[in-house]
Amino acid sequence: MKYYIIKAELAGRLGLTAYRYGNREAGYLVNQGDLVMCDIGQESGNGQLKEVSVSQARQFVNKL
Amino acid sequence: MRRESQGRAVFQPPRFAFQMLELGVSYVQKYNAVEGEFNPDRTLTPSVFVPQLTVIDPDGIIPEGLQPMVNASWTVNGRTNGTSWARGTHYQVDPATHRLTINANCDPHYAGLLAFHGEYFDHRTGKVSKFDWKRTISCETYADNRLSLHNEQSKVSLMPFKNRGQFDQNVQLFRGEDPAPDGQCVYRWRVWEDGAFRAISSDGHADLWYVSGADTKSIRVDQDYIQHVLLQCTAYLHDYPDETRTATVLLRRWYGQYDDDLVWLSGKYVFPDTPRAEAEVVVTRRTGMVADVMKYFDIEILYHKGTGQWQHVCHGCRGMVPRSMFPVDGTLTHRFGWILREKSAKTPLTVTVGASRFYLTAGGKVLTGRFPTTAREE
Repeated sequence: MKYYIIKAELAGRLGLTAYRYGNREAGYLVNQGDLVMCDIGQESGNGQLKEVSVSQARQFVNKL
Repeated sequence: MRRESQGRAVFQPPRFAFQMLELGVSYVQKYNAVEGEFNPDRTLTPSVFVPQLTVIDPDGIIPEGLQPMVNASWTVNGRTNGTSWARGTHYQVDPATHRLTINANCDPHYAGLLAFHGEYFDHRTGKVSKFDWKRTISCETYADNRLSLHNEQSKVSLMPFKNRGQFDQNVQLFRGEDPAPDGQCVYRWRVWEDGAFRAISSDGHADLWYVSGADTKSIRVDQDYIQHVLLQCTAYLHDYPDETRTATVLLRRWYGQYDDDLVWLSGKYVFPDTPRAEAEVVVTRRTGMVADVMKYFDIEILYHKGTGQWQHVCHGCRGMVPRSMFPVDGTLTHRFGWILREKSAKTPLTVTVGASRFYLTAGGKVLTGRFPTTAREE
């Protein structure tokens, strides 16, 4: 499974802020299942998200 | 005596819509035994359950919308690393909304249970309505080995005219669609000899074509010594030595298409003062004439004076016969012939004594030679 850190704006649009780890500054950690409703390629191109490895995802959660 | 007759309010029964809102939920996790990862990993992306009760009152007395439940309780039966899930550690329940957040991964092959019970108390009638919901949760183990060994090429034709010198032949072990990290892989190259693959010798004698990397994914070889070398690479993951994958690659010396011809340099037509006849063998490829032709071919030039046997003139690309060899009879025609044979890669020189074979060396290095690869035609 792929993990992404997405910007708060996109997380808000997708209704993910209520149950995913993150905050407005750092963004939110989501998995690919959370993004089925959006065009990952396009959002990536817009700088709204970046894919992270599992270890990077863990670091993100631990730093929150 | 006063007599009474009571009247009472009659309420139409409300309608209920109970639902469990599931956010980012997967009831069945998968555990990748190779990577040691859960899919999805709830410690990174938790599963969230929010019970919701909507009450619809036909009388319009109860406000429309979500209504709070009483006596709500969650039963969360899961296990992580053999330890039963505990509230506050593996999951949290919001006392106000009864929202359940699970941030723990379930042990593989453990069947867990999530159950919710909630009640709605109708203050008007004192009636209690009960709502229950439950699901099983589990985790399946899978080993996403799907190992495959990708080979750059299965056959490499090495043209002597384009010497690549030393070059690498690469393979890569893949797990699924991703290259397996080198640190987790074992690669073993072997060479075919006498009907079986054997370990590559690095003694500088038996396998002169070998340079380095027999236990890596990139073996380095030297074209100068490659005539026909069949290699096999066996690869596996450190932790799964029984699941091996193999790939073979044939390295062969190959001349491709070429034409050979003989050109008379002099003496084709014999005049009284013609002192000699001379001819040269030329080889042409699609890209033009081959220079330094003796480097690649063994050439023997023959001469026939019209009668008798063919006579050997020389080994080389240019042959000459003096006038004295010409036919005495002027009616006879003389001609040159040639035998052209491809030369092998550098081959070690050996001496066989009984059942033993010895390499000829000079200064510690094995002596080599290039030899015709086909027998001489008569």
